[in-house]
Amino acid sequence: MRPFFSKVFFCLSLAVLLSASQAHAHRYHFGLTELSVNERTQSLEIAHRFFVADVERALSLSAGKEMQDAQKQMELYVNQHFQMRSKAGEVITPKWVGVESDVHDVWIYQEIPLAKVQGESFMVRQSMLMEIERDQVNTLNLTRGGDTQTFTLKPGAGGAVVKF
Amino acid sequence: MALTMTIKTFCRHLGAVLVGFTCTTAAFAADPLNVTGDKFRQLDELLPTPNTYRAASGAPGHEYWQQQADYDIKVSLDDDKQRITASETITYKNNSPDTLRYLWLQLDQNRFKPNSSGNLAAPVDVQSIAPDTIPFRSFRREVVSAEFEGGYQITKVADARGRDLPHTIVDTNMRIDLPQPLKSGDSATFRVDWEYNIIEQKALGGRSGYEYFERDGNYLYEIAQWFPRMAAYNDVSGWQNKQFLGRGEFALEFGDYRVAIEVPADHIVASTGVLANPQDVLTREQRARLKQAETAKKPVMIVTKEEALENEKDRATGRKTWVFEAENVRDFAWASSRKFLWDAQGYKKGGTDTMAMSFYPEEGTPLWDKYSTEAIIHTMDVYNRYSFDYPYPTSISVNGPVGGMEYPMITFNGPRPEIDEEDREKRTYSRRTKYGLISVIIHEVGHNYYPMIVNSDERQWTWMDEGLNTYVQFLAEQEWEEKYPSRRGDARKIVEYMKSENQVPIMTNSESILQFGNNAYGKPATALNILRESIMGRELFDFAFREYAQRWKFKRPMPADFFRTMEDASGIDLDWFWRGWFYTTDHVDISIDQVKHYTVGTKNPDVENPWKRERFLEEPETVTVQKNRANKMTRIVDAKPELSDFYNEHDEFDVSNADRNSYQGMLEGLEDWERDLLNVESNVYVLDFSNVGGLVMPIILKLDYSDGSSEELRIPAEIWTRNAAKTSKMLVRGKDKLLTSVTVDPHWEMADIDVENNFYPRRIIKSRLELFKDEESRNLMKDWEEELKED
Repeated sequence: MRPFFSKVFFCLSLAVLLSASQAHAHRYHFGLTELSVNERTQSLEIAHRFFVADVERALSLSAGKEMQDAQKQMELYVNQHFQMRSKAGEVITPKWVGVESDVHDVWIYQEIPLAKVQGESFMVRQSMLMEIERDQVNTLNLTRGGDTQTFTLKPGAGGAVVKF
Repeated sequence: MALTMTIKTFCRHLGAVLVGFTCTTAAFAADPLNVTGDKFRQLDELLPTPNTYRAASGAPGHEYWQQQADYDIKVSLDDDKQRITASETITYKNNSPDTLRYLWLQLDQNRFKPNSSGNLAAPVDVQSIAPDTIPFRSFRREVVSAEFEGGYQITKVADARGRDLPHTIVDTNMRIDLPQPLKSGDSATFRVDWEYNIIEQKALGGRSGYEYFERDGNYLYEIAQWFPRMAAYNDVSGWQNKQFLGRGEFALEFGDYRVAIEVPADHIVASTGVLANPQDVLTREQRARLKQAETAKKPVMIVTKEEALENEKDRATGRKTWVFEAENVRDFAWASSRKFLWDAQGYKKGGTDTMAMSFYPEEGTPLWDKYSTEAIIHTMDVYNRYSFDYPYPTSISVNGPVGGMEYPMITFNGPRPEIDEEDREKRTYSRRTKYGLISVIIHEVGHNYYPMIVNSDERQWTWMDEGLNTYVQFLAEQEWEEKYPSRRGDARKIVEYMKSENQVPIMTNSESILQFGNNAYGKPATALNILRESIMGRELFDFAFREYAQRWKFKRPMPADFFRTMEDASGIDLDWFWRGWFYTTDHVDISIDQVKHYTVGTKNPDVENPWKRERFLEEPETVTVQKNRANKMTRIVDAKPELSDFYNEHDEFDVSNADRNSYQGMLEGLEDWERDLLNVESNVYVLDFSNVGGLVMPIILKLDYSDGSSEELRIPAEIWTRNAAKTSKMLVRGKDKLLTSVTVDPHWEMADIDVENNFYPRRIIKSRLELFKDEESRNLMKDWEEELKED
């Protein structure tokens, strides 16, 4: 289900990144990654939702002053922090789909053909923002049919074994 | 296509309809607890028993009491060492019926001692991808925390005559043992002296601190949790002396304050309270401007940008003391810097007569001068309508290092425009910064109502101030401009959180909340908005919510007082709503499972039998019949006509006189009303629903008919009372009203987490990712560049 949102895309110019201000009233750090099994398209859909301000800050810290291509940088960052490792140790890198945002949140999309993961167990790590916030809590939702299975990830425990 | 899928069952007998319903009744009667759950059970065992302090209506009881703590403080700010030195005299009035042998004070700054519980209990940062690396930010925090000499140095605790009082410091609390027990109705006066190093906010976080401006070498101070203050003592918790770990905020007593703040002579001070000695600290010009601001239609600059820029170049050698007085506040905070610009505008309406003011460094322009004071006034304008008239003489917004924090009459708010490093006059701000600033000011100024005046216990219940305040914030944002990008309030924004399983109920102690923003801000604010828009209606809700604010202003409400007042003032039993939304982690997922179509059986064979024949003929031919016809099969009765008889001429649907006689006989045995019912030419629909998510909620339906018309039907949540897992609804509609489709929650007002089962017949719902892929043509990078430009 897709909430209405204005199509405003966040500024990733360097100036903005380096002076990103925090706009929430109090400090709390929360991210959501939805892994949805889409039988119709035979795809494992991955949608990460984070606060724009936090992601901007994380990118600015990881990019240094050389950052040119914002989307590439984002892709690099996400792939570094969101990983799926099979029992055999193989790391699956999901296909990059894209990024969108409104005034508050950024959505990052990736996907994996269902056949690649179906029936298998993976160690899924989602440690985005944990390098900058010690109280970051990332929630991992696996949605299949109408059922949701949830994993809570925190610094020090940024991964969970998920069976698809 | 839709039509044939909708008409699932044909049933010609009214009797059959009734049998269907009898079955449902039987199902829940047999399993009263398991199937129905106890979702409508009253909250009796969950709420405290009403007493003389807190009434069953949710109002303060006839013996309600609260303590009073008055403060007389002298404080000196050391701008060279970023250090506070201060002394206070506290007068504590014991209004409780109890005798107190000792008093508890809060030492909030002790959270920044290297060995505080807050620091010791902080989990280690480990980057899970590269286990041997430590992130810069957390490393800095750890290093700074370890080196920084934070926390109070308490230099004196003495009675009114200067004799030392025995005291024991327990982390962020201090117990003072009284020479004589303090009896009910008596007051104790004592003195505390202390010093502490102000934290650098950007390094250590927190709700106060200083910011250093490298370019001009100046400091900006936002000072809060800066004095040893009375812990709350109340009828529910006794002493609220839970340690301050960083999350659960404050539980405080009301009192009167006189605070003398000594700062460098060229500083401008913003503070809780009213400036008592303007002639000592303000120029004649500034006082005249303030006078002019009282009746101005837009903010008046008290300190202009030019004056502030001039001011920040020099360093005064002298000192000045600003004296502020505040009545009936639960806390006191202030800010000081020589960088401050200052604007002000009076606001008078109803019982409110106040001065809205903003203090910001020039780095805050051109955003702060445009929006800050306007946002303060707008907030009061809206909140007054939904709560009570703002009673304090000032309302201030300060720009500094703190992202957003509230204190009585004064708030600290963070967002600033971006400044071009090569050309400082070139300034831009993004859409996000603009709305971020307006929203944070509305939120923090709104906190004056909840919890600064409706004085809930934040250490225990975060939702009571954050949830209620975020709800009214949403109303104020929506009154700022159309389509205001509110983060929270609309049901659809909470869906992803509600779906997650790793939740704790809203009724969870502050420190144990798992997802702070969603749990304590988003979910309660959304729940209240749903109550208002979809369950109680605006009129009833607004009356009850305002009643709660009126009953508890300048008093300390507990959760039960809110739940009870909302019911007491609206006359609506909401126990099921509080139970579901506040005490469980269930979510809303209502599925429409089946739609059955019935028409009334007349029992008249001349009507019924032709109808049955029509239905029979509508059935598809068997393959055998089709093939036999194709093969031109010959039959024996065609060859030998003598084998045909009566039955070859009349099929089973032909009506005999015996049928007619029996019909007449049946009619004679019926009452008149029964006979009338048989001739009703209506369509009867039975809609089956199941409650997948667990939360019982109203069922909002959109019904579409074959004639192109549609209808909206709102079924109250009480439809689930007999059976909270499954329920059915019968609809009787005119003979032309053929139902083609049914939609549950068509406006997405219920936070239903699964839209797919909201349609009958089912529809394919595209995922968010699919929709994103559909919009191929857009140029992401170009959109990213979108920025709001201002000169």
